[in-house]
Amino acid sequence: MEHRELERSVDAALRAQPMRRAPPGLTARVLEQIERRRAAPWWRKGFLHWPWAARGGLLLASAAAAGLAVAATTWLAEAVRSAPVPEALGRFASALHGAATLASTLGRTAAELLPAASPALLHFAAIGAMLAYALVFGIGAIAYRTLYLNR
Amino acid sequence: MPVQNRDARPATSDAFVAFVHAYQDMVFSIAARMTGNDTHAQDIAQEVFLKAYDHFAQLRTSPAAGGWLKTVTTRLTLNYLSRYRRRWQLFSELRAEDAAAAEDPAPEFAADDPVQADVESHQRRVLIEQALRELPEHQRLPLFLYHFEELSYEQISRLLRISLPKVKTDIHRARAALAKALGEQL
Repeated sequence: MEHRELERSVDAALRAQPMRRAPPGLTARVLEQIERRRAAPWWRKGFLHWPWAARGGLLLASAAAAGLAVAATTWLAEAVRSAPVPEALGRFASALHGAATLASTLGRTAAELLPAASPALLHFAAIGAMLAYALVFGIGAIAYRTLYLNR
Repeated sequence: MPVQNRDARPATSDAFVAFVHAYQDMVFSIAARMTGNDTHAQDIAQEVFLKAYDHFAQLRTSPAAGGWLKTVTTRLTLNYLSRYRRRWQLFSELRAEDAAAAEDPAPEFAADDPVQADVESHQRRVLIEQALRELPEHQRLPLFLYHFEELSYEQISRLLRISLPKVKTDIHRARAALAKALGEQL
């Protein structure tokens, strides 16, 4: 069938299609939902449905929280600038340095070993990595289906 | 029993029920044909009428209520489908819900008079609905928007955020699939 002819035939067939009949329970579902929404307490509705006092209270509380956050940040920055680095921070920085050194050593070793390895070994390693990934993926999927979907 | 809408203007439940009855077939048809799934379509139709309820004070007397409902239904269905697509479908509802869609009962039509309906034309209508339902979403949506909503290729391309050539290809393939499914009945 030609493009134009096909378009015309499909268009005619679809335009002649009457509306589908809605399921008989739809109106009841809608009314029930409206009733449920009306019965919900104000704090479970959207912000625009809250009483004026509650809206004003939330805005004031938000402004106070923002002010406190700014004041706390300023105070913390000032304290860090004026005091020596606490011991805990020093330990954290040292652990970070250790991890960076380890990663760098591993990277250097891999760079030296890889050119020497045979292509077959590399292929096996790649396949092994993919299989391990698929295994973890499969375990995740099974766990999701079993623990989450069947709740 | 009187019900109140968001603007706290009184709206009789009878008036709103009449409004839902007047438009429910249209809203449901749009959602069902776009999603290809009656269960999703019911959820969307419910959401549309809840929005309509919030604006009922304006809609009840507006001659543009039908157009408003059409636009809202199309928009909500597209949102619904994109939310659904974003879910982790591989593991979850995809198979189950597709199976449910396949088990949807044969469609009923608002215009059919059970006594006078011509059996042959009724069967043809059912066949068309089933063929539409079986199209993949990326073909069904542009086809619906082109033939039912009368949007141009360019408008569909913008609305669905896909390229113009892809819109044309998908619509052409959808037409070909429909023609194949309907055979001599087209």
